[in-house]
Amino acid sequence: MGKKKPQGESRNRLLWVSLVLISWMILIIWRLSWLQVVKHEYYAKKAAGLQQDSEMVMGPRGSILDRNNREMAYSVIYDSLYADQNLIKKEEARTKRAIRQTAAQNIASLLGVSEEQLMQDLTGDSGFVWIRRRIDPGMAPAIKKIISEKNLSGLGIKQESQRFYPNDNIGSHVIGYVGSEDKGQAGLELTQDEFLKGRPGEVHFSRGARKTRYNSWEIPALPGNQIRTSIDIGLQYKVEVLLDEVMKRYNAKGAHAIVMDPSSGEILVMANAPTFNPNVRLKTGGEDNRNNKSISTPFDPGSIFKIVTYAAAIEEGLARPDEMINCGNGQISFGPRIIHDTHAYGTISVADAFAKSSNVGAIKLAMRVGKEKFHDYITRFGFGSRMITELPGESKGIVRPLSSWNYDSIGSVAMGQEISVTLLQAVSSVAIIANKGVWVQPHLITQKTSSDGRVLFEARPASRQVVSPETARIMTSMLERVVTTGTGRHAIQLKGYTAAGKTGTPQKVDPITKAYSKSKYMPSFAGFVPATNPKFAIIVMVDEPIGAYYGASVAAPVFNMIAEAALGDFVVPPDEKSFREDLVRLANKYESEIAKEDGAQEKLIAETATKPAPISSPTPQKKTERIETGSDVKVSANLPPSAIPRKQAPPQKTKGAVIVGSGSPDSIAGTIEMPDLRGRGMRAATQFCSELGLKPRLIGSGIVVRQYPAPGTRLRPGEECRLEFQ
Amino acid sequence: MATAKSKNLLTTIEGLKWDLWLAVTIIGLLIFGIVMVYSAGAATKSPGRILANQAVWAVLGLAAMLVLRKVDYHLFARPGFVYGFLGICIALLFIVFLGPSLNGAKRWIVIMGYSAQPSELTKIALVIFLAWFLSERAEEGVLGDFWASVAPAIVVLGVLAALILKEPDLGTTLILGLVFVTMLFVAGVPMRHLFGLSPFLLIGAVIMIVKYAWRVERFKVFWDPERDPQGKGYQILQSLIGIGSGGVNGLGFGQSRQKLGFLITPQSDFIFAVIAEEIGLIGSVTLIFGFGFFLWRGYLAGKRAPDMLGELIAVGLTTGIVAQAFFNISVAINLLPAKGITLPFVSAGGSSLFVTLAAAGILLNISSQGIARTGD
Repeated sequence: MGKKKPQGESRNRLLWVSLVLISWMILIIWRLSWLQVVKHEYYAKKAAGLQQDSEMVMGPRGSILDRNNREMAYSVIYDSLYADQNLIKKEEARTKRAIRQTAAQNIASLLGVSEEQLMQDLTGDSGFVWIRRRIDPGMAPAIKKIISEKNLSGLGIKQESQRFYPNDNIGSHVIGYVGSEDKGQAGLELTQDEFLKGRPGEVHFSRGARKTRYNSWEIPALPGNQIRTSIDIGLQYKVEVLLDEVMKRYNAKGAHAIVMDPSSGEILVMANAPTFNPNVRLKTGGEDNRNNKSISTPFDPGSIFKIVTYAAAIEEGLARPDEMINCGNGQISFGPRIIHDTHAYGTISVADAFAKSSNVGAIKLAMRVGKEKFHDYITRFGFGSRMITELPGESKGIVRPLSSWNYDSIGSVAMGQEISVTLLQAVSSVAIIANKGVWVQPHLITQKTSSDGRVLFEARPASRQVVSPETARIMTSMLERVVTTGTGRHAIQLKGYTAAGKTGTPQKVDPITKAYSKSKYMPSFAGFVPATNPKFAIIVMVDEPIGAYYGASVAAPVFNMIAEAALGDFVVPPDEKSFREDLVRLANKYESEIAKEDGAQEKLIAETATKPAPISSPTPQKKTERIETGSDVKVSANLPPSAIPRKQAPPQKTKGAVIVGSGSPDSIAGTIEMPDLRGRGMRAATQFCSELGLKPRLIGSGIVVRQYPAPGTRLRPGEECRLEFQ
Repeated sequence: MATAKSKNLLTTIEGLKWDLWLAVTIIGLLIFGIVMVYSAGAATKSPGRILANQAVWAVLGLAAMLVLRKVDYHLFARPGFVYGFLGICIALLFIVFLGPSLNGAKRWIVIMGYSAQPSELTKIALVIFLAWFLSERAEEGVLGDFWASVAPAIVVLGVLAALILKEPDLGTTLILGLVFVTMLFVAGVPMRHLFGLSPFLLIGAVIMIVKYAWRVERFKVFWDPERDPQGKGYQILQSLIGIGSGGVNGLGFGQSRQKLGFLITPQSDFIFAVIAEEIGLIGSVTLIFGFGFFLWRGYLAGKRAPDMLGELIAVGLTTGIVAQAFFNISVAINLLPAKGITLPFVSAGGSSLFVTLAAAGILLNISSQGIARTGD
């Protein structure tokens, strides 16, 4: 070694170099501390903005179901592809072009459009544009992946909710409809909006520069609650068809009907013609069509209001049905005003005066009650106040306070003038009579359940005694007389059932002169069936028919057909005594004939076989059995077992479907052959299924493109079939 | 010197004591580096390949370190070796221009899939040349003669720097300049020569920087990275976001978010951003102190070295490694404008790690000889 090392100065020089480097180190640590301590918050926020993101997820709006859980309204969440052109424009020219080209090349084929088309959509100048609404659910994830992998800023997928009304027009006034963003705007959709709407959730996630996600956490979206209504969509459909028919037949402005269960207050049908399709509501008629007139537009009830007048007099003990009353030959005068009957009656019984709808009789009874008490009864029947809480836009009707009654008002009100009621109030007054004098609040919603099946609400309608059961019984028999011998005798012809009801032929109030019109009427019929054990309170009203105007001739036949359909659909046992006797007689006759035939056959078998053939024991019969013949539905139920024919007629063809009686020894006993519904419309298919006793599950809208099970498959009544529409 | 010269070139010194502090610091930095390379590269397309590459170079580098620790550094101090070494480096720096271009720069020689930067090797070549040349001139007593000592050294530096600048690799050039000035200064070259040199170097630097527009741009972005957050300021801004959001304690090992595609090649030049983000101020200051400790042990080895040759080699190599580390960190925290140089021992990058470990081997040899001499 022996090499001389630089001394002194060199040592100092090495120290100087060390000091320089240590200063540099201190500078670094100072700067690092400043970044990581003082500016930490600033950069952490910047990092979060860069690395964290969130996305909204929608919860579907809840369904509205009918009483048999058939969907009347439901929502589907769709993914939609959009482009934010402002965001694309912000990019550098090169990236901008690259984004458009990559998007066009990769996504066009998935959407089934040409690349040029997609390029055009992306090149526009309008900011936010939808490129494709409602992407095929299978395609959305693939598109999402492309967007994130190719870093296509400005393109994105957003969830949208779409409301479907699978039955189109049917029940549309009750269901209502939604506007933009699934917000309820009418009917149950409006009043139950808060309840039905889904709660949106959020997905928060961290992401890398290439939008790869990790560490995600979610506030899950909550589907809306579900509402079950008392509506029977099948019966509603039938009523709507009838109303449409009658409206067209008489060139009427409209036709309206309500069917309710008097004992539970459940509204089974609330129908107005003309109607609208909530799926395409803007294309189907004006705003007037969307108005639920059976609750929103009061009318002067006319003669059906005499039910209240008579019930008041009987309840007060001021009249008996067999009591004779002088109808003054069809005339009564209040000072200068003379009121006429259509027909002049002399002295007749109270029941006859009611059955023949004598105005004079009604006025005389009202005067016996006196205007204070009469007004009281009107209020107790529910006139002048709201009936239902679940629908928007309900009118209270117009019941003038006693203080503003004229000297002749009691006469007018007694026959249903100078008073306005809604159709719902009118049917409710009939229901009170049907339900032994007890008013049960009419309602539509029977149950509300959360998306996970918890029951949140069960209908417990309010009720109150309005008239005594005895008064109700007397009124029922008087209403029956209207149907058997009175104004309704020609129109009401129910085989096997008793009926009770009242006609009304009110004149319309001319909106200009405020006087009763001489040519515009609103014929109506209100009543209930069966009279002995009322299941349905029904009202029908036709607005301004042309050509005929009596309640008996215009409204009563519709009432009759609605009653027939309702009794059939709900398999109500017949209550008419003579009809039951006839049935029993007929059954006994078949019984003996079949017994004779069987005997002959057994003898024959015994001769040909070595062993005696087993004697077929009577197959256990269900108490209720439906036999369908053509489109006409007839019911035999609650009959003694002997009354039911043991052997059935050969299977009958019913519109391509075969119904086989349960008495058949065949293995396909009691099954239905699935018809080919492909190519049929929504309404026809639904109708078909309900006639066959199948529960249709409807997917999409339009015409049937796929069905499960396939045509020809055998199903049991009550089974579900899946129909896909397009 | 005479005894050393008489020895066979391959003779190694037996029975040398380890400089344990220095060895532990080197191994610590190396292991830390491999772990952080694994973490930072985990989110890239081929994390396995990056880790394997780093491990292979670490093993090769360690082998070189162990060999060189046993080779007496005086063996390098002969004209044949020094000029041969310089000649090989210059040749390799020419070959670089035949090699592949990456991001507009030609810095690599690719052999069997492995790429190496000759500029890394040049650092050692320059240190050995200067140490030999200056200690010879000192022995002759002509260190004070500008034309005898400073001028020839400048010519050698000029040739090397010009070739590396041409790649272009401004960062390595600056490190070479820094090492050059430090060694001349420590060797005892009169201050007037060095001051005479400084305006010359300053003008050169300004010309270099201004000559290329992108370097001016780099300066603009350096002053305010957020003026072009998606373009030239992108990488530095991402680095600052990572470091700043790491805070005092860091997000936890492996938890860096900026490495998920925000930082470009996070395992290489900007690995410090990932380190500061994951282990926070505490971890990153510990790393800086690690280099500080290395600086002390390196300079201590030089101080204890038996002769001027050993001292100058130790000071040159230590200065090269530590200055490069501080340079790299300064870029990551935006103290200096962005330059592509690695963090020694830590960054992924094969030839850099290999050369650094080889230099550490020479340093360990000098240190061991110093311990043998002083009996410390």
